[in-house]
Amino acid sequence: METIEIKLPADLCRRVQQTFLEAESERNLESFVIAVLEELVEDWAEMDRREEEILAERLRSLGYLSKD
Amino acid sequence: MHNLILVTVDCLRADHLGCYGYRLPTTPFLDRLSRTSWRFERAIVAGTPTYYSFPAILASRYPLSLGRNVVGLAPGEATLATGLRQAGYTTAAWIAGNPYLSARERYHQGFDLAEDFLSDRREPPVDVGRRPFRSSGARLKRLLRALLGSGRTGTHLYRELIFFYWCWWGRQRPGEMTRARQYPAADAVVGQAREWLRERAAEPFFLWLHMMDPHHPYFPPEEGLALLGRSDLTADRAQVLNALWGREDVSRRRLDRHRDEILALYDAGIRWVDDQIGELVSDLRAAGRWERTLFALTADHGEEFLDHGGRYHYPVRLSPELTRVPLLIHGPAVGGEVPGLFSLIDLAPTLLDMLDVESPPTFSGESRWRRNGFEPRPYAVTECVFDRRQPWAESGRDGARLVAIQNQEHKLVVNFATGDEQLFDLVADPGETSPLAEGAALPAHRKLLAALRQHLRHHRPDPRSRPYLAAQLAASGRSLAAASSED
Repeated sequence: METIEIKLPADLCRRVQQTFLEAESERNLESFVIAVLEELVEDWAEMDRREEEILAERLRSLGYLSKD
Repeated sequence: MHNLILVTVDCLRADHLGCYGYRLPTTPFLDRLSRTSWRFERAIVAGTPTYYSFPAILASRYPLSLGRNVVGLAPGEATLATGLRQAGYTTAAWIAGNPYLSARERYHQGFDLAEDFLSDRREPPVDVGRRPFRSSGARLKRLLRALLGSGRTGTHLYRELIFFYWCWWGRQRPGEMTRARQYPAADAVVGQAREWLRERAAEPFFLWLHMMDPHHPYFPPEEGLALLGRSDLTADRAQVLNALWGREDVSRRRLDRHRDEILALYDAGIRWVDDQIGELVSDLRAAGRWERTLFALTADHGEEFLDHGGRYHYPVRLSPELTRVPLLIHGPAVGGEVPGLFSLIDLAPTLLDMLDVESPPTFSGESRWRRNGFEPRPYAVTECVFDRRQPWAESGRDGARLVAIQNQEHKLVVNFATGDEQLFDLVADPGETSPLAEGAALPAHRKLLAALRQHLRHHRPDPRSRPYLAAQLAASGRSLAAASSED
């Protein structure tokens, strides 16, 4: 897996470990940050776009939108 | 006119108020008040149930527009309370024990003082029947199960015998309604608010009261039943009725036999709310503050009593008994009937406009106030995630939308989970009992489909907006906590 390196303030990392993590290790911190970012980038607009397309298709089927 | 009181009543159907045509005297005080108020004939919620309705009521935001995994308000989200506090208002809220309106869901944001009654229960309520049985019942259950087997007939007989046993012997009787009620009654909520108004409320103030008396399980105060002449309904009887009403395996005919009693319990809750609001207004009149107070009453959604086959208020239907709510605004000018469409997405900006306070820029709705009346909305949209009854559970958070869009003449309901679409003629069929046949009213159908598509496009979650990021950070924290607790 391709990775990039970022720098985080050490004090911030310690506070995250103390607040959220049982074992203070960089591995745990890394997993935690990855998990948070994965949650954040989940595309919550995807279902909206799909539902919008369903409506567009419905309008096309009723002859009210061109098929473009 | 500069104070604001907003009263929201959980599960309050418009058609159970006298001023909306109800045949029983559930709301004598509100009926009198309505004669000098603006009474909105067609106020429609923007989401249902509570956790989908309140982002629209307090933050003028459609419930799914920050992501359908978001429940409650976003951290720092602008609301009616934050807007008024910024304008120099003292703000206070009393919320009758609804966890979806708690500090956890950030409904305390913007309030100098907020009490949700969630932490001060002195003793747990008496079991209302869903987890019954004294210890002897467990042996009986095992015996019956062994004798009757687990086939269809055996299971039905088993359930009936167990229920019969529970009704007569196996339950802890509450004795009085207070011991069975799951939420504080209106007098507890209003009582604290009245004390605050007398002793601490500097003007201008914003007071929000949320009352739960009509909410199931239906255990209204005895005083409410007495006011409706239904003191015959004891707490013990209410316990049995609630248990029966909650069963999934009971026939429609049998539920119908008890529907009137259940309605009496529901109506008594409304009657008690009405009585307590009358006390609150009396205090304000005596203190000379009523004339300076804008007062609004509405609901987050209604309640089903088999009107379309359902009970309670699950997000599986958007029928009028759920989506049409009362709205009374007492304040400037004498008032009158407002016949046109009003969406609760516009309530907060409308109230702020009536107080001459600017709305936050994040509000999706607009003020409908026009100095001598209200301009109707062309469309009202109501949405939810279909069948998401447990909004705090991880599963179902990416479920499909159930949405309704209506104008004055027609209503279109689209269920993206099942693919069903229903179009109703609201003039010929206001009760929405008979969907129009496929192909009927095509121009109306097209208009509503196109408007709905615009709505989805316009209110799609925007990952680049700060409210979205704040809401997703909060939601992801909750999700991670849930995931780690399952490990």
